[in-house]
Amino acid sequence: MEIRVENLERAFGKTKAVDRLSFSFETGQVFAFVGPNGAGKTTTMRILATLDTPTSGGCFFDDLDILQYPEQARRMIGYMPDNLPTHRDLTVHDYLDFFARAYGLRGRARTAMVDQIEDFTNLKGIREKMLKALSKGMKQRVSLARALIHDPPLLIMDEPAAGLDPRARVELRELLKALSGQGKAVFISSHILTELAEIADGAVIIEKGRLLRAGTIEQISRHGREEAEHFQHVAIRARTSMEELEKTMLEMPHVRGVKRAGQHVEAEVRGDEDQACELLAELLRRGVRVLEFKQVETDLEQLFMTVTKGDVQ
Amino acid sequence: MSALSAPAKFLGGVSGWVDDRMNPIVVKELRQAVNSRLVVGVLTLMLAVLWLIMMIALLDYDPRGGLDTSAGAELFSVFQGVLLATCMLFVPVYVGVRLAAERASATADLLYVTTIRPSSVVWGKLLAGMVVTVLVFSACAPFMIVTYLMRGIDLPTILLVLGLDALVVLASTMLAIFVATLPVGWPVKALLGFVVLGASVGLYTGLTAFVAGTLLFLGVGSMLSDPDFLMGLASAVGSWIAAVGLVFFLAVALVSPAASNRALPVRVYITVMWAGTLGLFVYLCWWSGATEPLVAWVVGSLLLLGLASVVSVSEREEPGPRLRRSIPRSGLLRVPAFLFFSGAGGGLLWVSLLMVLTVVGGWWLTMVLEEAIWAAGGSTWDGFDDESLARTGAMLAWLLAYLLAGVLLSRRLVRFKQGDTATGVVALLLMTLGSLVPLAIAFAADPQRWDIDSWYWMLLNPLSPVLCDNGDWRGDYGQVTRVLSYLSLGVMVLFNLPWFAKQVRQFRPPPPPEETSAGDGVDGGAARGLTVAASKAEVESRGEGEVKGDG
Repeated sequence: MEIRVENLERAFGKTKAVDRLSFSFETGQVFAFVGPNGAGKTTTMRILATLDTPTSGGCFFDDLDILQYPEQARRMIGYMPDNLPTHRDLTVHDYLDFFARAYGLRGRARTAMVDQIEDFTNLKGIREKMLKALSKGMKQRVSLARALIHDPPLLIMDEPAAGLDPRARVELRELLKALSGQGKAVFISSHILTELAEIADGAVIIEKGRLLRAGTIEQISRHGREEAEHFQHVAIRARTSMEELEKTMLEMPHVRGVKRAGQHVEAEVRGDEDQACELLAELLRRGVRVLEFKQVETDLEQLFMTVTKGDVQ
Repeated sequence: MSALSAPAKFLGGVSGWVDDRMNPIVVKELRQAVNSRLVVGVLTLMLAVLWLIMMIALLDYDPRGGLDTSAGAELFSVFQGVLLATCMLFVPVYVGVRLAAERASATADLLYVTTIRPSSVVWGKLLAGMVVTVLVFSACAPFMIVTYLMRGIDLPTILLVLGLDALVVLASTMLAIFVATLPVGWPVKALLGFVVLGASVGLYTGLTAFVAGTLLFLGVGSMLSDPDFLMGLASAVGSWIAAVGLVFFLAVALVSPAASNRALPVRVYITVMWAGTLGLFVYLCWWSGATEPLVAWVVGSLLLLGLASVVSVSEREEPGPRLRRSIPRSGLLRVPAFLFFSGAGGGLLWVSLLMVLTVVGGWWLTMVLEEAIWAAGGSTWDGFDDESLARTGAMLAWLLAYLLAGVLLSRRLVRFKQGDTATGVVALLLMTLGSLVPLAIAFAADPQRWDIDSWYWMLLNPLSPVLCDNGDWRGDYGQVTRVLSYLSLGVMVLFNLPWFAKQVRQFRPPPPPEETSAGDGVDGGAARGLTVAASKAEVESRGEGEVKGDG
């Protein structure tokens, strides 16, 4: 199934939260939705989840117009908002059973599905626990289980990793991989770009409601390199202190900025690969004892920083 | 063994069938109620209070001490007071606050993204509230039975009083749900909640007084053969349930998505209720040999339609894609659809038609009924006569003129930020200004000789035609009011005709599917420098598993 967003616009008064946004992806993929705060990610996701209607434009699941037929579309969507379940006096099992009923599952099909989802999300052990007694990571898993209870082909996740500890993040990542392996489309927004890059097949980058990039990670990276071909990212490790190395680097004429990355100092160099070679030669000329000098591939985070300005509306 | 397993299987099957068909909201709410310390605490407290009262009453009761025929009735009165207070304070607050909290958080969103219908959500909440009420009633039942054994009260009285209690709790719960669904902030909801609570206390006081003063005093058993009592009871209960039904449909409309055709069920319900109550009140007139019930119907209907007019005029002008999809293609069906579907123009026309029908129909039916009653040898008070028709006609003309002035000001001249929803507020504001400003001017001009008795200072008040004295109405003031009200309406209609005509033109279904294209209008202007092409051919050539970015 193909999920298409076409010329989507959503205005709140004079503010355009989403401005002529178009992209598409397919089932079996994890698709990252990236943008600074206030970029229009949640608005777009809510429209896709049929919770909001656009000012103009459309969203389609293959040939099904979700704005025209939201009832049919809802059977195909699992939506996980950025907040967690807050129902009082309800156990995990009853919560999932309630949503299974709300999606029209009946009899054995319902009990089997709830069991299956509890197994998949590893909630069996805590199924009789009250929701309010759960940790954030557990609640996040319950939220995921709820979104999957009707076995939708599309899962929309708004900031699912926010506030999770490293273990919970790894577990979530594994679950998402498993879901895309099952042939589901996962449309996910997150600020933790390094993690997204590991699991995402593609990404959409937006800012101020407008599309900046869309495509596979490779396509976006390649495009980023094409557009920013006059910038090289290099990582250097040397037998000198980090502070001194940073200071030396910043004195170089073509270095636009530096940052620390573990044992390395990463630098953004204005120019082509020759300029990177020049930088190495200059460092050696200045007596810096270089242990390692390597080109850094543009990852999603770097790309995001390069293409967005951080502006909000 | 097999003989036992067959019924067990059958019962299991039935229970599974019932379980599957139960409203999910009811199931969830009842599970929550069972786990809730609050529910258990309230039930326990009520039982403790009832037990204490019973112990005191029994210690004071001497079954051999002569004929104390009022002991059971007195104790029942106290039990009923405790039961009603518990239900009316607890159930509406419990249901309303929970729903309001769900709507304030994203919990409601999670529900709306499922396939559950808005009507099921409201119905589920109401039903869950009523099941909790039945739970409280059941806990109270053993105590009620003791009052019967103590004499002084008959079974029909107990059943009727409990039925009336349930109806009052139903109405309070429905009102609480309605307030919880209003799209306003917590402070306003809390304020309205207190208003509902105040109304509930009023209902509580009225009902307990009625129960103690009339039902327990006279005994329902003795009144069951009285047709007046039965007719009065049936009318009151029917009207009560109809009013609860209206609030139900209003709440459903409020929880429905803004893009949906949410006015349709409300308008259909009001129209059916209007026609149904007309039939009931005409029958009441004929049965009682008096036309007063019809006057009550006209007044009640106009009050309701007046409120509906303010809401209708605040609806959107342009039908959204979702609504347009449901507009009939047949021109003949489109006329009633225009009246009943969401939309300010259609809504205003619908409510105006019903108002005119109410006034003219009330006047005509009064004449017909009077003739029939006189022909049957009865006599009746001169009810909704020609003068009443003229007065209410002028009042309606003022009301519609103000509503159209609101449309003109908020949608065409100023265009308020709040959009369509501001129209009703602006119209009400204009009505208030029209009613108060002349009075203020009069007072400012001459505070000493200000003549409040002169109705001319009330000329712009839409209620003045029906409130002014007979002498004023029959004199110059009545003439001026009639001319001015109809003139104002005529001018406002002329000014707003283009606004109305535009809505009529826009009220069309979308072109048939073959004329539209999913990809229409994709110019990719938003995608700056994308590497991925967007053409359909390219999309198809890419094969499964590839990510696409249109541009």
